[in-house]
Amino acid sequence: MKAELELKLQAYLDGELSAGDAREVDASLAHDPEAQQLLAELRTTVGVLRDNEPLMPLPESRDFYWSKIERAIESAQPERVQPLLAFWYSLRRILVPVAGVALVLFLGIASLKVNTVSDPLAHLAEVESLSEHVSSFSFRSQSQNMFVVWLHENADEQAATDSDDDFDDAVLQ
Amino acid sequence: MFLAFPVQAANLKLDAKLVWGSDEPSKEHKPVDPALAATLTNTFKWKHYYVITNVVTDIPSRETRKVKISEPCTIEITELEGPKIEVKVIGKGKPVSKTVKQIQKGEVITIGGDAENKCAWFIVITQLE
Repeated sequence: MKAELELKLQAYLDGELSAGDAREVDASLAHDPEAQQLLAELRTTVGVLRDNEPLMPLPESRDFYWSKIERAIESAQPERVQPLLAFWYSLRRILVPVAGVALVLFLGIASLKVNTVSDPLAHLAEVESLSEHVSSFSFRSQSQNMFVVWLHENADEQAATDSDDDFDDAVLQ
Repeated sequence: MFLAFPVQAANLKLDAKLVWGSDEPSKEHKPVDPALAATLTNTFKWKHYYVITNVVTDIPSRETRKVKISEPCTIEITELEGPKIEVKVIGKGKPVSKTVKQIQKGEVITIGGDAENKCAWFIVITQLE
Protein backbone atom coordinates (compact mmCIF):
# COMPACT_ATOMS: atom_id res chain seq x y z
CA MET A 1 0.00 0.00 0.00
CA LYS A 2 1.22 3.42 -0.84
CA ALA A 3 2.14 5.80 1.91
CA GLU A 4 -0.11 8.40 0.30
CA LEU A 5 -3.12 6.15 0.69
CA GLU A 6 -2.19 5.47 4.35
CA LEU A 7 -2.15 9.21 5.08
CA LYS A 8 -5.43 9.66 3.25
CA LEU A 9 -6.96 6.85 5.30
CA GLN A 10 -5.98 8.64 8.52
CA ALA A 11 -7.47 11.88 7.23
CA TYR A 12 -10.54 9.98 6.02
CA LEU A 13 -11.06 8.55 9.46
CA ASP A 14 -10.75 12.01 11.01
CA GLY A 15 -13.23 13.43 8.46
CA GLU A 16 -10.67 15.85 7.09
CA LEU A 17 -10.83 14.87 3.37
CA SER A 18 -12.64 16.78 0.69
CA ALA A 19 -15.65 15.09 -0.89
CA GLY A 20 -13.63 14.14 -3.98
CA ASP A 21 -10.79 12.61 -2.00
CA ALA A 22 -13.24 10.79 0.23
CA ARG A 23 -14.86 9.22 -2.86
CA GLU A 24 -11.42 8.11 -4.11
CA VAL A 25 -10.68 6.49 -0.71
CA ASP A 26 -14.10 4.78 -0.76
CA ALA A 27 -13.27 3.39 -4.18
CA SER A 28 -9.89 2.13 -3.00
CA LEU A 29 -11.37 0.52 0.10
CA ALA A 30 -13.91 -1.33 -2.05
CA HIS A 31 -11.25 -3.39 -3.77
CA ASP A 32 -8.23 -3.19 -1.42
CA PRO A 33 -8.47 -5.57 1.57
CA GLU A 34 -5.18 -4.27 2.99
CA ALA A 35 -6.61 -0.73 3.12
CA GLN A 36 -9.74 -2.07 4.74
CA GLN A 37 -7.64 -3.82 7.42
CA LEU A 38 -5.59 -0.63 8.12
CA LEU A 39 -8.77 1.46 8.41
CA ALA A 40 -10.18 -1.06 10.86
CA GLU A 41 -6.99 -0.93 12.97
CA LEU A 42 -7.01 2.84 12.95
CA ARG A 43 -10.64 2.89 14.06
CA THR A 44 -9.85 0.48 16.89
CA THR A 45 -6.89 2.61 18.02
CA VAL A 46 -8.91 5.83 17.97
CA GLY A 47 -11.69 4.14 19.90
CA VAL A 48 -9.33 2.79 22.54
CA LEU A 49 -7.66 6.17 23.01
CA ARG A 50 -10.94 8.05 23.19
CA ASP A 51 -12.43 5.69 25.74
CA ASN A 52 -9.41 5.43 28.01
CA GLU A 53 -8.01 8.95 28.05
CA PRO A 54 -8.10 10.24 31.68
CA LEU A 55 -10.16 13.36 32.09
CA MET A 56 -8.99 16.15 34.37
CA PRO A 57 -12.05 18.29 34.95
CA LEU A 58 -11.32 21.86 36.06
CA PRO A 59 -13.20 23.06 39.13
CA GLU A 60 -14.23 26.05 37.10
CA SER A 61 -14.53 26.86 33.47
CA ARG A 62 -11.37 27.49 31.47
CA ASP A 63 -12.31 31.10 30.80
CA PHE A 64 -13.08 31.75 34.43
CA TYR A 65 -9.81 30.12 35.52
CA TRP A 66 -7.65 32.38 33.31
CA SER A 67 -9.66 35.49 34.01
CA LYS A 68 -9.01 34.87 37.71
CA ILE A 69 -5.27 34.84 37.08
CA GLU A 70 -5.52 37.98 34.96
CA ARG A 71 -7.41 39.80 37.71
CA ALA A 72 -4.83 38.71 40.27
CA ILE A 73 -2.02 40.11 38.14
CA GLU A 74 -3.81 43.40 37.56
CA SER A 75 -4.65 43.87 41.21
CA ALA A 76 -1.11 43.08 42.38
CA GLN A 77 0.42 46.31 43.74
CA PRO A 78 4.07 46.83 44.62
CA GLU A 79 4.59 46.19 48.31
CA ARG A 80 4.62 49.42 50.27
CA VAL A 81 7.78 49.91 52.31
CA GLN A 82 7.53 51.48 55.72
CA PRO A 83 9.12 54.99 55.79
CA LEU A 84 11.51 54.03 58.58
CA LEU A 85 12.52 50.91 56.70
CA ALA A 86 13.02 52.95 53.52
CA PHE A 87 15.27 55.34 55.41
CA TRP A 88 17.26 52.43 56.76
CA TYR A 89 17.65 50.94 53.28
CA SER A 90 18.92 54.26 51.86
CA LEU A 91 21.22 54.72 54.85
CA ARG A 92 22.55 51.21 54.40
CA ARG A 93 23.33 51.95 50.77
CA ILE A 94 25.68 54.72 51.96
CA LEU A 95 26.94 53.03 55.10
CA VAL A 96 28.15 49.84 53.47
CA PRO A 97 30.74 51.48 51.15
CA VAL A 98 31.69 54.01 53.84
CA ALA A 99 32.28 51.19 56.31
CA GLY A 100 34.43 49.42 53.72
CA VAL A 101 36.56 52.51 53.15
CA ALA A 102 36.82 53.09 56.91
CA LEU A 103 38.00 49.53 57.43
CA VAL A 104 40.68 49.89 54.77
CA LEU A 105 41.83 53.19 56.31
CA PHE A 106 41.85 51.66 59.78
CA LEU A 107 43.97 48.74 58.62
CA GLY A 108 46.33 51.11 56.82
CA ILE A 109 46.78 53.36 59.83
CA ALA A 110 47.05 50.40 62.19
CA SER A 111 49.76 48.84 60.05
CA LEU A 112 51.68 52.11 60.02
CA LYS A 113 51.35 52.23 63.79
CA VAL A 114 52.60 48.66 64.03
CA ASN A 115 55.57 49.52 61.87
CA THR A 116 56.41 52.71 63.68
CA VAL A 117 55.31 51.83 67.17
CA SER A 118 57.84 52.98 69.66
CA ASP A 119 59.86 50.26 71.25
CA PRO A 120 59.31 50.25 75.04
CA LEU A 121 63.07 49.91 75.40
CA ALA A 122 63.71 52.81 73.02
CA HIS A 123 64.78 55.08 75.84
CA LEU A 124 67.49 52.73 77.01
CA ALA A 125 70.97 53.67 75.94
CA GLU A 126 74.49 52.39 76.24
CA VAL A 127 76.95 54.96 77.45
CA GLU A 128 80.61 54.12 77.62
CA SER A 129 83.52 56.25 78.73
CA LEU A 130 86.42 55.76 76.39
CA SER A 131 88.88 57.73 78.46
CA GLU A 132 90.11 56.74 81.90
CA HIS A 133 90.07 60.40 82.86
CA VAL A 134 86.40 60.86 82.14
CA SER A 135 83.32 59.52 83.86
CA SER A 136 79.76 59.94 82.80
CA PHE A 137 76.21 59.68 83.96
CA SER A 138 73.06 59.82 81.95
CA PHE A 139 69.42 60.60 82.48
CA ARG A 140 66.32 61.16 80.51
CA SER A 141 64.02 64.13 80.90
CA GLN A 142 60.57 62.83 80.05
CA SER A 143 58.98 66.27 80.10
CA GLN A 144 61.57 67.73 77.72
CA ASN A 145 61.89 64.54 75.64
CA MET A 146 65.63 64.74 76.03
CA PHE A 147 68.28 62.15 76.77
CA VAL A 148 71.37 63.57 78.44
CA VAL A 149 74.85 62.17 78.84
CA TRP A 150 76.94 64.28 81.19
CA LEU A 151 80.69 63.86 81.00
CA HIS A 152 82.97 64.99 83.77
CA GLU A 153 86.57 64.58 84.72
CA ASN A 154 87.40 62.15 87.47
CA ALA A 155 88.05 64.04 90.74
CA ASP A 156 91.64 62.83 91.24
CA GLU A 157 92.44 63.42 87.59
CA GLN A 158 91.00 66.90 87.79
CA ALA A 159 93.35 67.79 90.65
CA ALA A 160 96.41 66.33 88.93
CA THR A 161 96.02 67.61 85.39
CA ASP A 162 97.47 70.82 84.19
CA SER A 163 95.49 73.25 82.15
CA ASP A 164 96.70 71.90 78.77
CA ASP A 165 95.01 68.56 79.33
CA ASP A 166 91.77 69.95 80.66
CA PHE A 167 88.84 67.94 79.47
CA ASP A 168 86.79 71.14 79.27
CA ASP A 169 89.06 72.29 76.49
CA ALA A 170 88.65 69.06 74.60
CA VAL A 171 85.29 70.22 73.28
CA LEU A 172 85.19 73.99 73.48
CA GLN A 173 88.18 75.98 72.43
CA MET B 1 48.67 43.53 53.63
CA PHE B 2 50.27 46.66 55.14
CA LEU B 3 51.29 44.68 58.15
CA ALA B 4 53.67 42.63 56.12
CA PHE B 5 55.95 45.51 55.16
CA PRO B 6 58.61 46.59 57.65
CA VAL B 7 59.88 50.14 57.68
CA GLN B 8 62.77 50.45 55.30
CA ALA B 9 66.06 51.84 56.53
CA ALA B 10 66.67 55.20 54.92
CA ASN B 11 69.24 57.93 55.23
CA LEU B 12 69.24 59.57 58.61
CA LYS B 13 69.29 63.34 58.53
CA LEU B 14 70.63 64.72 61.78
CA ASP B 15 71.20 68.17 63.13
CA ALA B 16 74.22 68.46 65.43
CA LYS B 17 74.85 71.63 67.39
CA LEU B 18 77.62 72.62 69.72
CA VAL B 19 75.99 74.80 72.36
CA TRP B 20 77.63 76.86 75.03
CA GLY B 21 75.72 77.40 78.26
CA SER B 22 76.45 80.35 80.48
CA ASP B 23 74.90 82.46 83.17
CA GLU B 24 76.33 85.57 81.58
CA PRO B 25 74.68 87.03 78.50
CA SER B 26 76.86 87.28 75.43
CA LYS B 27 76.44 89.57 72.45
CA GLU B 28 79.14 87.76 70.51
CA HIS B 29 77.26 84.51 70.14
CA LYS B 30 74.01 83.55 68.54
CA PRO B 31 71.35 82.28 70.97
CA VAL B 32 69.80 78.90 70.26
CA ASP B 33 66.27 78.86 68.88
CA PRO B 34 63.56 79.49 71.49
CA ALA B 35 62.31 75.88 71.52
CA LEU B 36 65.74 74.45 72.23
CA ALA B 37 66.44 77.27 74.71
CA ALA B 38 63.29 76.29 76.61
CA THR B 39 64.26 72.61 76.58
CA LEU B 40 67.75 73.37 77.88
CA THR B 41 66.63 75.96 80.42
CA ASN B 42 64.04 73.53 81.81
CA THR B 43 66.67 70.83 82.20
CA PHE B 44 69.92 72.59 83.10
CA LYS B 45 70.84 75.37 85.48
CA TRP B 46 72.40 77.82 83.01
CA LYS B 47 70.46 80.87 81.93
CA HIS B 48 71.78 81.45 78.41
CA TYR B 49 72.54 79.05 75.59
CA TYR B 50 74.44 79.96 72.44
CA VAL B 51 75.08 78.10 69.21
CA ILE B 52 78.78 77.72 68.54
CA THR B 53 78.42 75.44 65.49
CA ASN B 54 75.52 73.88 63.72
CA VAL B 55 76.01 70.99 61.28
CA VAL B 56 73.36 69.07 59.37
CA THR B 57 74.50 65.69 58.14
CA ASP B 58 73.01 62.79 56.19
CA ILE B 59 74.06 59.39 57.39
CA PRO B 60 73.39 56.49 55.04
CA SER B 61 72.20 53.26 56.54
CA ARG B 62 74.90 51.45 58.55
CA GLU B 63 77.47 54.12 57.77
CA THR B 64 79.48 56.56 59.83
CA ARG B 65 79.96 60.27 59.35
CA LYS B 66 82.50 62.43 61.10
CA VAL B 67 81.21 65.83 62.12
CA LYS B 68 83.70 68.47 63.21
CA ILE B 69 81.90 70.67 65.71
CA SER B 70 84.87 72.61 67.01
CA GLU B 71 88.60 72.79 66.47
CA PRO B 72 89.42 70.19 69.13
CA CYS B 73 86.23 68.17 68.98
CA THR B 74 84.79 65.80 66.41
CA ILE B 75 81.84 63.51 66.72
CA GLU B 76 81.47 60.28 64.82
CA ILE B 77 77.85 59.30 64.22
CA THR B 78 77.00 55.82 63.00
CA GLU B 79 73.57 54.71 61.88
CA LEU B 80 72.83 51.29 63.37
CA GLU B 81 70.06 48.77 63.12
CA GLY B 82 67.07 49.70 65.21
CA PRO B 83 67.33 52.46 64.06
CA LYS B 84 69.90 53.46 66.60
CA ILE B 85 72.75 55.87 66.43
CA GLU B 86 76.17 55.61 67.94
CA VAL B 87 77.71 58.93 68.87
CA LYS B 88 81.40 58.89 69.61
CA VAL B 89 82.87 62.09 71.04
CA ILE B 90 86.50 62.65 70.14
CA GLY B 91 88.33 65.48 71.88
CA LYS B 92 91.79 66.51 70.82
CA GLY B 93 92.00 63.32 68.77
CA LYS B 94 91.26 61.05 71.72
CA PRO B 95 87.98 59.17 72.09
CA VAL B 96 86.13 60.41 75.13
CA SER B 97 82.77 58.68 75.17
CA LYS B 98 80.45 56.51 73.18
CA THR B 99 76.67 56.58 73.35
CA VAL B 100 74.38 54.15 71.57
CA LYS B 101 70.71 54.99 71.57
CA GLN B 102 67.59 54.50 69.55
CA ILE B 103 66.74 57.81 67.97
CA GLN B 104 63.19 59.05 67.66
CA LYS B 105 61.93 62.08 65.86
CA GLY B 106 61.37 64.94 68.24
CA GLU B 107 63.73 63.56 70.85
CA VAL B 108 66.87 65.48 71.72
CA ILE B 109 70.09 63.66 72.52
CA THR B 110 72.46 65.85 74.46
CA ILE B 111 75.99 65.09 75.46
CA GLY B 112 77.40 67.75 77.74
CA GLY B 113 80.02 68.66 80.27
CA ASP B 114 81.36 71.47 82.37
CA ALA B 115 83.39 74.22 80.78
CA GLU B 116 85.56 77.01 82.14
CA ASN B 117 84.09 79.84 84.22
CA LYS B 118 81.18 77.79 85.46
CA CYS B 119 79.89 77.39 81.94
CA ALA B 120 78.96 74.23 80.05
CA TRP B 121 79.14 72.77 76.58
CA PHE B 122 76.47 70.67 74.95
CA ILE B 123 76.41 68.59 71.80
CA VAL B 124 72.74 68.60 70.86
CA ILE B 125 71.62 66.04 68.28
CA THR B 126 68.14 65.91 66.78
CA GLN B 127 66.72 63.92 63.92
CA LEU B 128 65.45 66.00 61.02
CA GLU B 129 64.22 63.23 58.69
